[in-house]
Amino acid sequence: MKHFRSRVLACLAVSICFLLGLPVSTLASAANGTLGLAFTNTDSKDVFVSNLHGGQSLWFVVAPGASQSRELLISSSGTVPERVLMSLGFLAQTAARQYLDPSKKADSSDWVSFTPSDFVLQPHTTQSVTMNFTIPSNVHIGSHTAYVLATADAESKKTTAQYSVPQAIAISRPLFLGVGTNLDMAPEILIQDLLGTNFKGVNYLNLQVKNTGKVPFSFAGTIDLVDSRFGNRKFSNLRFQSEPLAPNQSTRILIPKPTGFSPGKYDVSLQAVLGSQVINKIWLSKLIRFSPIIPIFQILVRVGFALFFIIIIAFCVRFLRRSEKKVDDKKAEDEALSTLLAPPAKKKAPAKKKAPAKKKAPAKKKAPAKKKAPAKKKAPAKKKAPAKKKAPAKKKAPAKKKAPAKKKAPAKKKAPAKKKAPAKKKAPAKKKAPAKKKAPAKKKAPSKPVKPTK
Amino acid sequence: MSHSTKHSVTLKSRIVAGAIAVAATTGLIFTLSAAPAANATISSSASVATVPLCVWNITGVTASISLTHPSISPGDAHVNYVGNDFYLTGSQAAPTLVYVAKLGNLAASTTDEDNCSFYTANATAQATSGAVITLAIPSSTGKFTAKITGVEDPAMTFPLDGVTPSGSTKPQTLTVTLAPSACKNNSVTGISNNWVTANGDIFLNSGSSPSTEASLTKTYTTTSSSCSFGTGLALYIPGGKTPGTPGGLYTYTGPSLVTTLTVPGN
Repeated sequence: MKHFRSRVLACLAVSICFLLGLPVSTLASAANGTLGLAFTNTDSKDVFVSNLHGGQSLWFVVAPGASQSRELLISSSGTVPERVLMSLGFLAQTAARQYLDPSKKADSSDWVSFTPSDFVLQPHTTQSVTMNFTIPSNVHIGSHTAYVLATADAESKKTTAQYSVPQAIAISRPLFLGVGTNLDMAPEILIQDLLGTNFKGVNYLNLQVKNTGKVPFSFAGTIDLVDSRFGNRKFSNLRFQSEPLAPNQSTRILIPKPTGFSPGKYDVSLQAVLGSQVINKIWLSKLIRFSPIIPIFQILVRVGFALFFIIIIAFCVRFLRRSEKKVDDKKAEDEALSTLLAPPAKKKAPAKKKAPAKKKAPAKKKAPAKKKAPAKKKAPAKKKAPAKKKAPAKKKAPAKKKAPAKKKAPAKKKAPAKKKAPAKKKAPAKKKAPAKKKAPAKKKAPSKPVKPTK
Repeated sequence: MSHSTKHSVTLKSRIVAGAIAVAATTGLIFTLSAAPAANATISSSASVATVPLCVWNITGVTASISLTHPSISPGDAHVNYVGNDFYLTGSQAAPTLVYVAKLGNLAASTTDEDNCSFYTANATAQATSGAVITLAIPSSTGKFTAKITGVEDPAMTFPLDGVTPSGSTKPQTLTVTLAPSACKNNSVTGISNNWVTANGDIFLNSGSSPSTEASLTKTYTTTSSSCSFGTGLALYIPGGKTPGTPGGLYTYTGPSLVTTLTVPGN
């Protein structure tokens, strides 16, 4: 008995000490305690909203003058009691992201109420909050976005530290509010295409859709495919569901390729329910084959082709330039030769004698004749004017001076002169010359005097 | 080969070269004009079992971070404030943890990927959401309040406005040192980390735009995504201030530092 009593007393003493010590330890841990928060919501009870996206998202469609509510669940994972404040925040949006802008006020914040909006959440408990939108009757039909914000800090802000920075945590989730009736806010979709796609090595049917309406939604339905050639090849009831699709947003819904499906032409039938609408879409003889979404290989092939074409173009341009240069060089060479050979042209007698020979091979023989003739003739006459074609041209300059305009004229007139060579009359040749100043004639001319030298 | 033949050959080859060049140019234009397939948001469908709903959680944020004036500190080495820039520093005892789990769970699962799911009412598609964690000081409370015996001394109170006041060489700003750790797309496999995290010092003023601490896009979010980061603070009580009660023991309480977890998805 004594043992029993002493045990009871000991237990009582321990219990009293524990109860007395608890507030002290609670106070001490308040500053060092941690905050924790999570936030979700129950499904919407609005059938229209539920049909848009299973009711899970924070979407509201409320007619002017009406109201609608939703249950939110705020849960604590902290170790100290937290004071929670519910509010709406401004949802700022850029092309790349959406974010909470604390410096601005949400345009729908005047229409919302939270019950309760300010409460204490004990550690590891969950609080239900009713969020209610009441839209005044004079509000215009339209779409609004905002963030629902749950902000928590420690209920007790007592601290023994001389210098301290209190902390708070917040969780924000986006909401959509459509002001209007269900008809005003009826979802609209544009079914753009159905393709085959290879994504990360897996083949998918790729359904491309765009939200063209005023409300976000999640597009769900089924697809049936029948082979256009072999009607017994059917792939039925392929289910799909998109992620929530904001107004004006496009997306690709990837549906895993059914077993046994092969690329080819198919008659495709799509059935879906969107809001209160039933959507049917049919594609006949739709070619479905699987190409990668990120076509690295295709890009590489294109780059390869581009390089190939660039090389060809570069080569052609280079070739064209080079051949132009060659023609210019030849012209210059011919001119040089013609001027070089101009003085011997004075001795027309021998030249004219050999004129008939020229008739046999007129223009074509000139090339070899030019090269050889000046070399042989002028080398001895003008002291070493060997094979260089341009060198003799320089030396010929004085020759030109000796027989300036008059001499050149007959040279140019040699073409007609050739024909009239048998006449051996310089005068008539000179008269005809001014009429025919043809480049080819100049070239042919030198060949006449060349041959006589041989 | 005669001269004229050569000429005609050259001319022909030039024409051919020109034609090839034109064809190649056309080919090049055609090659470059066809636009490659565009990227787009990809959604997928999958079947899932019935498990609790996944939500993003934040925990581990201490209610208050205590600051001290270290004996060896930059600037003033005096133990007490004597009118010089007075350095204060401190850090959170344990890291802040952001994770995906069922509502109220204290951490992401490290053993079971199917501990929860982001799913819609008809359970046919995952509606995963990414997360963005930001730090900010609300403009309404953006000052360090000096109190003596529970009463504010406006002479010693100073705003966190980023300005360097007269008598001081330091801007009135709060330096937050972030040290992310254990950030994983999937805490069960632990293989990938696509978290984008701020590492090092960020400078906060009251009313300035929130600074992003960490973010994970919904593409990489799993049912056990998780990231943690240590938080250190530092600031100066600006020099040049004269206390209303010289010799008194002042307490300083900073503005509330708010860590916000934004779930941008649905």
